[in-house]
Amino acid sequence: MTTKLAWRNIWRNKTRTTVFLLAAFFGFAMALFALNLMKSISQQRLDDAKNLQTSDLQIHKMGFQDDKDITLFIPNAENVIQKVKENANVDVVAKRISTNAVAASPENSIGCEIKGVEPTTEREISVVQDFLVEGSYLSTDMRMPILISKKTADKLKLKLKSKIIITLKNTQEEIVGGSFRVAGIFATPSTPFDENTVIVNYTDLQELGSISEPQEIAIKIKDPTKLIETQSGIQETLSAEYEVNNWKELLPELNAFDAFINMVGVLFTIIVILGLGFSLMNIMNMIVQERTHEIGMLRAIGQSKFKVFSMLLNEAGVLMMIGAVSGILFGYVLTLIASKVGVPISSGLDMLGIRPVMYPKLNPEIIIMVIVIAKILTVAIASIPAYRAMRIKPNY
Amino acid sequence: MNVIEIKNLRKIYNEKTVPVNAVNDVSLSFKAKEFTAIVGASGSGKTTLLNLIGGIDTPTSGNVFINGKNVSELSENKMTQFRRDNIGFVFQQYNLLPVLTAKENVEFIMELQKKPKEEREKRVTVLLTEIGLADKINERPAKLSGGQQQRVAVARALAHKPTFVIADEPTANLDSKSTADLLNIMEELNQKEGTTFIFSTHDQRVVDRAKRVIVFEDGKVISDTSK
Ligand SMILES: Nc1ncnc2c1ncn2[C@@H]1O[C@H](COP(=O)(O)OP(=O)(O)OP(=O)(O)O)[C@@H](O)[C@H]1O
Ligand SMILES: [Mg+2]
Repeated sequence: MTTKLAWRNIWRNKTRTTVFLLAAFFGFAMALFALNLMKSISQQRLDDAKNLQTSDLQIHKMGFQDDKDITLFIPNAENVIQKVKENANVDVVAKRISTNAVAASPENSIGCEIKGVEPTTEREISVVQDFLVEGSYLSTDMRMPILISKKTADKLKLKLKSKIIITLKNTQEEIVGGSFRVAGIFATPSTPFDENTVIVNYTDLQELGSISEPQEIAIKIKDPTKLIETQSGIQETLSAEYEVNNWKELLPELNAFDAFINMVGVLFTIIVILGLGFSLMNIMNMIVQERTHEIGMLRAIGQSKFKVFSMLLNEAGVLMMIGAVSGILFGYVLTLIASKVGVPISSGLDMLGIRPVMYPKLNPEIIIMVIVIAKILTVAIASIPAYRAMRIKPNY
Repeated sequence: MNVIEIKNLRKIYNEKTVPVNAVNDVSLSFKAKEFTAIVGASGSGKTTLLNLIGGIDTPTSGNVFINGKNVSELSENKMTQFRRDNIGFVFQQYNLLPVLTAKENVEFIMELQKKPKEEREKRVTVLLTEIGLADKINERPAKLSGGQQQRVAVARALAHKPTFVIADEPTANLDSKSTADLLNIMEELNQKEGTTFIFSTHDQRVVDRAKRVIVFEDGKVISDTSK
């Protein structure tokens, strides 16, 4: 009866109710969509950065992180790798050589970070191959292959199969140079990565730099929620000579923008909710105004104050819930569609490592959060007019 | 046994500015099954008296006893509950909830009392048949004439079998045919159900139907005659 009465009462003013329901429908749909999109963007951006640049965990010799000194290699690397593989949550382990270098073409030269990787294991741990726009991954049929970004290719005016000279300081502190050939060109969503990174075969770089051991061991883990436990678990099995870092420590600058990106969705939602809250408040005030006489009559024939209060709260609840539930369903469908067709993101944000097209994922906790907010909002806002209604004297 | 007894009842409006003695030291009693009209000029205090008896308003001084219970002492919430369970109300207009059907309006108070569905249904059917609106059971008030609406209001006032019914000018907005119909119904239900009726009116035809007539002037009873 209470719900039936609330339902009939809200339709006493069809236009007003329809307008509010439409606003709530689109408001909730858009808020849900925006929250999911922003959350997905931030998640994707972190995943991309992690998968491209660091993987979940990295091991270095203590001090290497400071200036990437090529001489700070990992002693007994094979031993360390064996120990790491014993950890139950470890999925893939890859060794890398990484140092600062200068890449030069006849046209130009740039400073960069050169990474020597073992193609077979590296493919399992990194996603660079997913972003190849030309050529192929470090192919075996080419001598001294190198992967460079589209940005680097443009700057150095290089094409596929062009020669590129890499100059670096070897472990004997001598300047050495090697000639590599462009095997593939990649374009990732991460501008800092693209501007800075070239990738070659582990053995080629080992030879060029006279390096016996890797400077970096990258680890991909099975359960990402156990990041910190796995990190400290591995650190415990190694001596203090080695430093184990997780990707969040390795990419500190990422987190700053993360909060900002999520803020966009939250801010949008707050605006929507304030707007809806304001109109609900107005409607409830009008309802009390219009029905003062009727409420006085109900009080006279014996409806309790509490029942008057709950009657109005129910009306606000039915009103808001129809809008919220239908809007959330629509937002859900929108997100599902977007997850298939993609959402174009305005260019210029690639500096932040955001992909030009996003495929948002649906986050169940966002739906729950939106429902909880809608409920709290309804009760908070409707309570004031309901309280005024409750104080109407028995009358007719 | 007196169903209602009022003693030295007084209601003064605007006590601090321009005091109006709307009910001025009135003592009266009503027995079970009485069918009483309160008459008097406009502003004589009929509505104020009925509101005091019905517990909608509180007296400045004096007491109202219902079935021996001093209701003037009840707290606001207790008074609301007392009205719900013991008194039926019929007002001049806007008695019914426009969003409810005739049936739903009649069973409204029983719903407030959380009476079981079967009991409600049975009572509603009896009453709507009694008032001759069995065929309008699912109509909303807007589809009923003024007279039909007042009849539904009477049915609602009686649905939960109150001790007495208060009706403030129930026929004021009705034509003579509807007025006669409503009075027939009130009289019939008064006889059948034994409910005490107190109603105010300006209409001589209504006064003629009453078994007891109390004439009011300036907040005082100037005559009280029973037939
Ligand atoms: N809420 C109020 N505040 C101040 N004065 C009031 C109030 N209600 C009634 N009065 C005054 O009390 C007196 C009695 O009014 P009441 O409404 O009881 O008369 P009535 O006999 O019902 O009149 P009517 O036949 O017009 O309905 C009148 O002088 C009226 O102006
Ligand atoms: Mg009156």
